[in-house]
Amino acid sequence: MITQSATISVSIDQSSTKKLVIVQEDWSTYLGLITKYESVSYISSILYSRSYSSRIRCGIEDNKLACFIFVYPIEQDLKFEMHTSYGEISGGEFVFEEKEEYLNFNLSKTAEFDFPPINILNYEWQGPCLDGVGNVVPVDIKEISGTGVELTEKVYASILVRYTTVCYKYTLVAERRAEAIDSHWSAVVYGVYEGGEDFLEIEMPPGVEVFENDPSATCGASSGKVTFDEREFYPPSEGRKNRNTVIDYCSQNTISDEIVPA
Amino acid sequence: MIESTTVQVYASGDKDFSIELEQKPVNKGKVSKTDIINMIAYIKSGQSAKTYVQSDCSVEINDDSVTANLSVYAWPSNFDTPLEHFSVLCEVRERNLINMAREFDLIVNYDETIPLPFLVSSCDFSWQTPCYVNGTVVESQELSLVGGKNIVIPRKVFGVIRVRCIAIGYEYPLQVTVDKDSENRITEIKPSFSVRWGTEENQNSSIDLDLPACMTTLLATCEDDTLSWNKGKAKKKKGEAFTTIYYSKCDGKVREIHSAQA
Repeated sequence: MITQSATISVSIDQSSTKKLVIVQEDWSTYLGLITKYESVSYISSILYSRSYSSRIRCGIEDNKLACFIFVYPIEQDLKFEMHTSYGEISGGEFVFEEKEEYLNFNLSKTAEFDFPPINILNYEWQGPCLDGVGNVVPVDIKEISGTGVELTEKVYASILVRYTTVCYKYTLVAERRAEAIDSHWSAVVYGVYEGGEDFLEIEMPPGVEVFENDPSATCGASSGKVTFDEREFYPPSEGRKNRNTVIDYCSQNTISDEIVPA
Repeated sequence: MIESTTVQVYASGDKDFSIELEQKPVNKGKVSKTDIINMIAYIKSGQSAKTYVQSDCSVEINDDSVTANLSVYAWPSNFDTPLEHFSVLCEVRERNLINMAREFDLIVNYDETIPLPFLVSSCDFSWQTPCYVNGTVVESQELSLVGGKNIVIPRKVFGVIRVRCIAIGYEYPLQVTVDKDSENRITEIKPSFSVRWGTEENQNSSIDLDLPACMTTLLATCEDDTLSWNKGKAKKKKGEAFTTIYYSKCDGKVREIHSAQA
């Protein structure tokens, strides 16, 4: 693999109609579901009269949906305002981020970034570039723009790119629509700037149907209809294992990390 | 929350005919805390929790089979087109004409006509946001329903509409019956439902059906096609009541909990 290390300025593609990349916080860190650990703890608390403290995060608490929204302007000096069709959006804290992304070319010259980079830190070709019949061909990067990478030839190739980007972090909070039949928390967040608007329809958290159907459902409390997480298997199908991790006391760097059968 | 599939068809006889199939939501969860409390209550009252069926599981358990009652909603764009239905691994009962209250958001992104996902007998709609044109707020546009199917907007704008309507369609009741023995493993059962309105290849729409997760739990089998249960014991103190939890050796699902004196 060839690694190119450099700080490359990124030119802005003015032809793109989209000016804002709006992204919602990934719900994967939220469970919205009872894990088996949670249910066993709960049964144990009932049987042995122990106190019970939930670790569940649902994304909806006290009938309020709350999530973070990240807005990446493609042009750094773009002036915009964020709004929501329902609930309240607040914040706008400036965040500097470093991203790592694979750009894949499927017999194509161009591939797009998920987020607009301001500086390319380095990139690595993830193997040789192949033409339509499988021959290795020499290819160069023609241009890196605010939206993607353009090669000199159409090839099958993959590049790992590390870059920096900036975004604005907002918080969306929406109460349950008391009178609604369905879609109690649905909302569309949108950014308005001179010349246009970009929007994002808010994705609901996992397990939201429980809350849609039952206004009294509570997250992780001692009542309510929350369900098992199917992804978690208990007991584990594999035997027990030990994880031995050695960390340097001064630098906190990991020296070794191995998992061995118990 | 309803998962859906839509097929838009342009056939010679019914070039604008479309139909959307939606499965009536099934309980995707496994066991709720309410169920756990009920199971513990069963055990405390001297009954076995083995036959307990969770509160929102629409499954009938017989001696040698388990039956799930499902429904599919069909939302045709007109009621003049004759429909024929087909099913795989499920029995279809006589369809019913239904009127169902629905509520949802629609994003208007410079559209003059927005098709609703179903025919409606009545519909209320209102703007959730100001109307924008190229980043500037303009006069709120009048919305009108045409043909019970389309919302028409006199000017191309951006905004979000809240729609509350009575949808008209068909409900097809379905039954899926599975043997409790291990020959028909639940992982191999993939029922589906289709409707056809012509002889052309593309004049049909189909949907794969979700089975209630509680049904798959009831029928879960091991790799070797046998039902198998482990038990774990938890003692409070020597000589006092201990609890035995029976769980599936294959997937760890708790099946039965017993409290007894040592």
